[in-house]
Amino acid sequence: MKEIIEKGLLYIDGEFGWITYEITEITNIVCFGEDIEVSHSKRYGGNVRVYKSGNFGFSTFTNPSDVISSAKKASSLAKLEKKEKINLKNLKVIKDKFSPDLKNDPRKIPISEKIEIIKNYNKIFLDSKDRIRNAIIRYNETETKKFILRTDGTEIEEERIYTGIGFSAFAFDGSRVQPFSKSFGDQRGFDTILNKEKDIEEAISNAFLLLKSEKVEGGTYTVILDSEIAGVFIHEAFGHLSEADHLHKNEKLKEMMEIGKRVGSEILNVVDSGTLYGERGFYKYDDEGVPSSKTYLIKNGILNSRLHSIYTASVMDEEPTGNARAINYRFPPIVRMSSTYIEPGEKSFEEVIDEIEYGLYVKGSIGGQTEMEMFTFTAQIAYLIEKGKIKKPVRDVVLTGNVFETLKNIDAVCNDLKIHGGLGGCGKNGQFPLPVSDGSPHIRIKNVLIGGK
Amino acid sequence: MEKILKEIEKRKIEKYEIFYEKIIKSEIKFEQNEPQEFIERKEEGYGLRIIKNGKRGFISFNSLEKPEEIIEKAMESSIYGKEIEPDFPSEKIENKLKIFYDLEWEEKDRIEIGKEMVNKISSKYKDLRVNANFSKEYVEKKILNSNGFEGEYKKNIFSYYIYAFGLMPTGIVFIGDTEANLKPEFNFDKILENIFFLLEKCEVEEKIKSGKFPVIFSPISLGFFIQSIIQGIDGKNFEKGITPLKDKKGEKILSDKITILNDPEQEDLIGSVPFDDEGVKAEKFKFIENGILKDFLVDLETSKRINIKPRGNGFRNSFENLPTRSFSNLIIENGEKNLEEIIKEISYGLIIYETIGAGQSNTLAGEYSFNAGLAFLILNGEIKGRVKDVMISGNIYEDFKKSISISKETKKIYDYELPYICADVKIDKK
Repeated sequence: MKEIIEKGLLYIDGEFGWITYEITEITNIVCFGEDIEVSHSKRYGGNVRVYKSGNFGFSTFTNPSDVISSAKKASSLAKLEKKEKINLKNLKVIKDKFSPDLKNDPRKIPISEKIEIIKNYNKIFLDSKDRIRNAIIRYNETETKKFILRTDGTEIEEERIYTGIGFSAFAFDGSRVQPFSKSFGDQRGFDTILNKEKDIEEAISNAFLLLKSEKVEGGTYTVILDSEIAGVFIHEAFGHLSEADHLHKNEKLKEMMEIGKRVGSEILNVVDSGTLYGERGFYKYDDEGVPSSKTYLIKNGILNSRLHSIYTASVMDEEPTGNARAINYRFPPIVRMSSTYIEPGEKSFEEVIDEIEYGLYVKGSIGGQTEMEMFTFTAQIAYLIEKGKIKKPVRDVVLTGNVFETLKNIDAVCNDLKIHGGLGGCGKNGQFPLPVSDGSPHIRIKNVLIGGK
Repeated sequence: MEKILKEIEKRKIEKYEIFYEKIIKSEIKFEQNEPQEFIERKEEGYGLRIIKNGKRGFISFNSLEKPEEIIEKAMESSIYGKEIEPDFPSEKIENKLKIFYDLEWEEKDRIEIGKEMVNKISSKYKDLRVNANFSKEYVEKKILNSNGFEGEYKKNIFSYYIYAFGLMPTGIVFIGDTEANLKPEFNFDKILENIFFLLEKCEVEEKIKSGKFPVIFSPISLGFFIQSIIQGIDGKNFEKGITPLKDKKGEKILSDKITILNDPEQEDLIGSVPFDDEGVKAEKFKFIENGILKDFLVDLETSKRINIKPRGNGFRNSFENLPTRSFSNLIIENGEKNLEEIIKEISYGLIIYETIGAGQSNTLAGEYSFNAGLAFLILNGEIKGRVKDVMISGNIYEDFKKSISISKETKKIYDYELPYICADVKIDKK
């Protein structure tokens, strides 16, 4: 493959250029009630990206032999406009091939065995008709082989294999329907989807429990977040704000996000790292061929660094961090997160909950969204805390806040870090879902607004 | 296609359907006030659905190099696949709808328009930056099945979005708008007027009390409402017994002012089609008429399961996906009052233009709880400054069943046409 697409390099007319090509195979198994649906997908595709006079031209192709016409097209697109030239940072030339070493490779497991496992999981759901009305199980296996060539001589071949499973149980009392979902996904191989019986039981009992629970009272609360929802919180609230493509040419926003500024208390350390092997957010090289790295976004409460593509790093004269990613060959890479997490602190969960007079213990995540300084995130389930004791569950807990206020209100970080992948991913500028991981230990935040009855 | 058909014949697959899609999309992207990235995306691909021994298999592909391998995989997926009663359409559909306009939108022209709009915004608001995208997308679809159906259509979709972002006295703003059309004809001045109106209102911050007050939802902010409705009337959720509307056919589920229809024949909306992605003739139908649930939304497979007539609502995200149930164009019928009159009638309330986190609640149950990302106080019939840190929550089947107002004005947002809707809802303020 490399031999065919590298011919395109000769036709790139610009200061810098990339050619990528990828082969992707996907297997999906969906089980909804009694029905099992199996589908396969195989796609080939690549793109040529050319940088010239401060602009990018980008052209996609599917048949490798079209690489030359695509290189010509991308070069002519890059010439549509001229502006002040920014020299791209000098990069290390890389020649590398990378394949993950999987203990239990999902590609080697026959489809019949996968179906058998899913049927066994589904039996637990079907046998629980006294508590739930129905359930969905989704299995996904995505294998991508990717080539990245650059005009500076860089040649990378990287393989990624994602495996994941998710399920939702639906409880129903004749008028109200109550789902409860859980998902698991990473790059560790087939073992990731095994032994989920307990989690299925948990989904069933939580859906049933929530159906009978009351809606949360609206107001401000002291909350303790579990690792999954605290991970989504840090991704939404601070991760997106750290993506340099929002601020690289905006003086006011740069001031707001000045390196060295205090944004949280001493106990807060936030990291984005594409180097966590096996996690859903892992990659060896980003889609510009820059090695992934570990970046401290916040160190001891101080704003420390941000996430870059080659271009944003060049504009701001900082170092590229290997965070230029695209969901597939149809899109140019943009600045994205990888695995984003809060580092563990020293306190135990029991200690932290014990200190809460009245508050909420918030668990699991349905999702989150940000508009830079404002964000929301939604819990799967929450429990009232009274005088340090976990009490009755409440439903429909959506938390919101201003990022700078909220970070300052984090007053405890526990010692129990967990990182979570799942089946979905992150969305930005029409590129969804990008595989990422989020993580955190339990954290406590004061004064969080929650909408409710 | 020939190669695939040969393989199908060889293996005696009695029922099949081939969906083909071709897309050529060209985009001009402005970032931080400047034209920055110029994109051309070209792609064609196939989705093959087969039914063998009464079971369905599916594969998607974009290379015809190894047809045997493709069919083998499709057959493998059918061994374990869902049992379905095959009934691909055979009716020939006359394509009378005018949806293809063979028009250009030159890249140079798009760059000029973008520069002009950026200049107008940044000369007034120097600290803001503008991102924009001007695109032309050519879409071609073909469907062929074992029942003899053969159909194809093509269209060009022209669209753009523009938004200004940065720091204003009331905090960070993201204010923009978008239009899409089958011809490259747009009202850029109107869009700029809307953006300036909202930016002006972001100069001053106002406070609002917690409580239940009238809230006007702008067309763009109604996404949460539509998401709940689509899930509620989804035939698959009906089949699986998990929609709260399960036993509500023929009953009043929303205010009698609300009528929601599928209309594939609106020639100025980009979702117009002669038939859906399964080859079923697309029909105009009021799924909710004067608040009454008329029927559930089905594609071919759910149609058979729950015995509801298919009306052309099977659509695919791309050739890589099986059809799911969706609208061609979704229209909420407009009301009789002007937006201005509705605002005038409110002594204390809110108007919401953008939401943060909408659609991430228990939407299937009709519940919502989100941050009113861009919202303004209404006081004594007038729109005042921006309110922040406000949560809006409730249930659409309760809040939109009571007394509501619907505006005469509507906005076309891609394949939706929506009015402003005012309802009494719960507001929580920090």
